[in-house]
Amino acid sequence: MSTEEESIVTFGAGQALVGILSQPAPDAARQQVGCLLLNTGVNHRIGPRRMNVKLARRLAASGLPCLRFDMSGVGDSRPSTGTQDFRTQQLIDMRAALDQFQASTGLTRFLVYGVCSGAASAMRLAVADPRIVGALMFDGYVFLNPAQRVERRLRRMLAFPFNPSLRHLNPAWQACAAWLRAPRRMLAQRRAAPRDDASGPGDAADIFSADAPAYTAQDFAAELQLLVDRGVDVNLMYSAMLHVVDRDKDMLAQLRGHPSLARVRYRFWPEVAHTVTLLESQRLLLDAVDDWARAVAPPMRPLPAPAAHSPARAVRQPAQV
Amino acid sequence: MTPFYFGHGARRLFGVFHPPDAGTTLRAGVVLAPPFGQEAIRVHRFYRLLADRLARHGIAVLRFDFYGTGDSGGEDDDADLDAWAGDLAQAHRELLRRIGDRRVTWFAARLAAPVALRAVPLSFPRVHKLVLWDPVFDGMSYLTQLGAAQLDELEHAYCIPDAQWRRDFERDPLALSGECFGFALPERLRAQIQALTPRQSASAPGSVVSVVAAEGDTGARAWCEAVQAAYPGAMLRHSAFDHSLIWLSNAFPNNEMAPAPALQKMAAELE
Repeated sequence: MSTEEESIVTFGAGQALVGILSQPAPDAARQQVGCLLLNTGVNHRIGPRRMNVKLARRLAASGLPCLRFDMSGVGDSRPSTGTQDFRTQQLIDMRAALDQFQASTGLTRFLVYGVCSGAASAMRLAVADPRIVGALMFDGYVFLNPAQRVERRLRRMLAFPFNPSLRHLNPAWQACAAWLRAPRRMLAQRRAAPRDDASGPGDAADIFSADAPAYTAQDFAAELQLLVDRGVDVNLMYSAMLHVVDRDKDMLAQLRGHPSLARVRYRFWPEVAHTVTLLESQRLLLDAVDDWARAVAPPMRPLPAPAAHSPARAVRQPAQV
Repeated sequence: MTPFYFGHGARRLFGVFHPPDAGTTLRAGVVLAPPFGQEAIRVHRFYRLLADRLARHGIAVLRFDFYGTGDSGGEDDDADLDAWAGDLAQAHRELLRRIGDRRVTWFAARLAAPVALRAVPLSFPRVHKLVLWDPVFDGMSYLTQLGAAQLDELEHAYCIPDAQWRRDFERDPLALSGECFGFALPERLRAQIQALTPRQSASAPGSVVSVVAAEGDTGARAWCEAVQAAYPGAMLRHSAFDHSLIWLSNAFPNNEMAPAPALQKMAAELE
């Protein structure tokens, strides 16, 4: 897709939010849904590894308009002047993005895509806004059970003697190796170093913990049920960061037996990292999201030209933010 | 601030213009040239805060993305230091078009530094000053850093990483540098980076140059020495500056995105 089909949009209270709308070429067939791409953490709207740009262009080439934008205070969007809490403000921002998307394209139904913290945001938006008809959450909520945690630890222990990366990541091993290499120097360093009782970085799995202490597997199951009952196409994808294998939707093991689980799409990717760092894994993910989006969208037909009137600004000329 | 597209033909570039704050008098202009790949993502917030700060002091700022990066058109395969030099010159013209005949300074971090040096002859009116932050003047060292960062990222991103990655890296530090943090290094870009050496890159652009680099950055020091040896009259200043921004990393707790001392230092260089 050429960049001529991309335009800058500013919207929300005081036009504080900035986004990029990617549209299919004017003479191309259009899908009847658009896709909203969310921020991940503090990364601005291009997404980690520029994946939101790649995905927006890929989906636009498949006929799906895409809007990627910065939430309040992230990237190029101004901070909110409101008094709402963080999550409430995010929901306000996402709904404002859907309003803008609707005004710019005439579409009324949307998919939402989010990675990591963006997946949690996608869940909140899907629950709150009936315009969402599909939600793809990559490495979103995880509810492992103790057996899987033990298995994960055992697998890493078994691989440890043969895997230099695991040894490199193990602080105890590194300290031991350093002692063996230069015991006198290590002793001197230990005597000189101040005692550090601060805890180090947590288990990598910490970032997958529910983002609010009160949000439990039961809460997730209830919201999942609400979505599938509404007909929302829920697609849960998980990377190889948390485990090596997945036999039966293991990332949601605490929900096992819940009726909603049978009605969602689920995929565990042993070859794809949480951050989609390898270019080959990016290609796999882009293919999968494109396939899913086209499967969820109803058959294509020509659409009327985008709405001329917009409550917000879709600009090719400069817009003050 | 005003986000907009500029450039010509199919080479469409994304930029953000920060006019001087209301009530201030326009004094000068600054173009912020971003580094490469993950480093550009890492520094996005820093650049925005720096632009806001300069705008409060009457300095108009243009931030932009090189072609094939950020919100600009193009893909990873379009990466090319020479073409990016043209993009920087284009951004320079765009800023001058907006602010009229004023002194313009370029701020270039990391790989944007050698791009900026290539772009100086393309700038008209000539850029007044270059501020080069942690510049990449030693290409092989930079590629090794990218490979090490790629390995570290992969090792943290998989429950059990592929053992071959570390073996390959220990055998050849450049083995993993064909891509880094999800960004491709196409063959042309790799060759251009490999060709960067402090001596080979030494040039006196005819503009004031301020190099701000870590105390232990031997590449930056060697470049400054090479320039001063070859061009005794060069308007060059080198200052050692260490900071806590980790260029090649993901954002995570206790990993600052915009360290206040660095913001203060760079704003002072540009005001």
